[in-house]
Amino acid sequence: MAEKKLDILKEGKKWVFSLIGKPLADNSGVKVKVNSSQETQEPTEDSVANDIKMFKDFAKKSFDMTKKATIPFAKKGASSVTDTARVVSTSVDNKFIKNLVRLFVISFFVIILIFITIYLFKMLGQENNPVQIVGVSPTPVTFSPYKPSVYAEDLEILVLEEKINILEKEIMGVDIKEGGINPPKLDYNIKF
Amino acid sequence: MFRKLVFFSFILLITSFFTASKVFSQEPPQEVTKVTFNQAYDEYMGFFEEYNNAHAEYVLKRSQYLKFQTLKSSQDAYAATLTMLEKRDDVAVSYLKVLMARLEEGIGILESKKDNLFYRINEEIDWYTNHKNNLSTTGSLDDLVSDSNLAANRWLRVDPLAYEIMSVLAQGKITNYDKRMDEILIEMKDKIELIRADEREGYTFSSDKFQIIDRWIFEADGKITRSKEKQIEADNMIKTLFGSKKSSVITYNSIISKLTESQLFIKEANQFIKEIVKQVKIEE
Repeated sequence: MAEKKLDILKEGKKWVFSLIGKPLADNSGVKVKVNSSQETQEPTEDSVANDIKMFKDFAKKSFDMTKKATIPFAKKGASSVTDTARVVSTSVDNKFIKNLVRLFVISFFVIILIFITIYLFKMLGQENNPVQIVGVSPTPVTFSPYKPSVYAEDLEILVLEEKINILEKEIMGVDIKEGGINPPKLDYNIKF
Repeated sequence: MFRKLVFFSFILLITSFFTASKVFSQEPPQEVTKVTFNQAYDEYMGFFEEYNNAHAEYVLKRSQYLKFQTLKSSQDAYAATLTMLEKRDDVAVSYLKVLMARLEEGIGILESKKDNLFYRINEEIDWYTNHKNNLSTTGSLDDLVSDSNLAANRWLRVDPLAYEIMSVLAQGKITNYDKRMDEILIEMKDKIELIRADEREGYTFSSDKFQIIDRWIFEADGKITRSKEKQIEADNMIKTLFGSKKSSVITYNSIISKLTESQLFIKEANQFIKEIVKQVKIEE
């Protein structure tokens, strides 16, 4: 068991060193020959080629596996699409749906007709009772809440009323306090 | 020849009547352009601005002099103080001119009272003008301080004078309203008597209506009487303003409150007379 583990470890180490291009130091005592450059290049090229080959094999295997796994699902999906298409086609053919669509279209046109009739009735109603345009009359009618006496238009009374109104406006609007002419604040405290 | 001479002289005499022009021994007096209140106020605000700037400079130079006590700082302080005092006198004079212009435009003030106030204002203007002219004759900071104290003492007369003028202006407005109210009430009473005496059908009122009208007249009379009482109280306070130990501002505010009460009574009387007019205009 222990020997197997050691072997696995050796193999792993060998693989890692081959990747990075380092010569592996053999602990078993086998002397590593120092070859020429050509000999060193050849093992590295072989390791790269081996890696590429290994990758290709792995990719091919994984592709095949996924292909095998997905083909049944794709077939299933295609069949479900055809199934739904079949169902839709059957439903369209269904009388109930046809009647429903027919009813919808009819009701839509009926609503439009109702709106048109209401509008026409309104127009007819306006023609019978024309709307009175309220505008400014040339002579304004003054509303008098009381019955005027003979002195309502008396000149002296009107003059008096005018004087009273003017005086009232002045009393209300004028502030008897003089603003802005208070004595200025000057510094008279001069000392040295 | 003689006839020609006489005829020619006669023609000359006739033409002289039409061509002669008036000759004056003296030129007609030119109209004195009175300064309006707005002009005087603008001038006053200008001087006040200059005074503020001069005062700021004075404060700076004074502090420098008190700190360093050098000859240069003393001279600078003197110059700044002199300028400030001159500007201060300018402010005082321009302010008095503002009061004069405002008094000129005031209404409801007796001419005798106006003349008295004008005389007092001119007195103060002359004093401050002389004071300003004498400032340049001072030689030291101490002289400036003593001159400033003279102006300070004089200002104690100007302050109550200013508030007296402001009180008189307010009083004039109320007097004007009171006078107009009296005239309106007299006219209304005369009109009511005419209506009462009118025997034509439809042109007179019932006794009940006349009672109502008389009641309104009585109430209006009462309000006007109360208004006059308040005016008398305010007038007495104005007379005590100058020379009073009490603060001029406090007395002025008391005068204004009295005059405001008088104004309210006049307003109420006005309302009552409006009611009379309404009664007269309405048919029974």
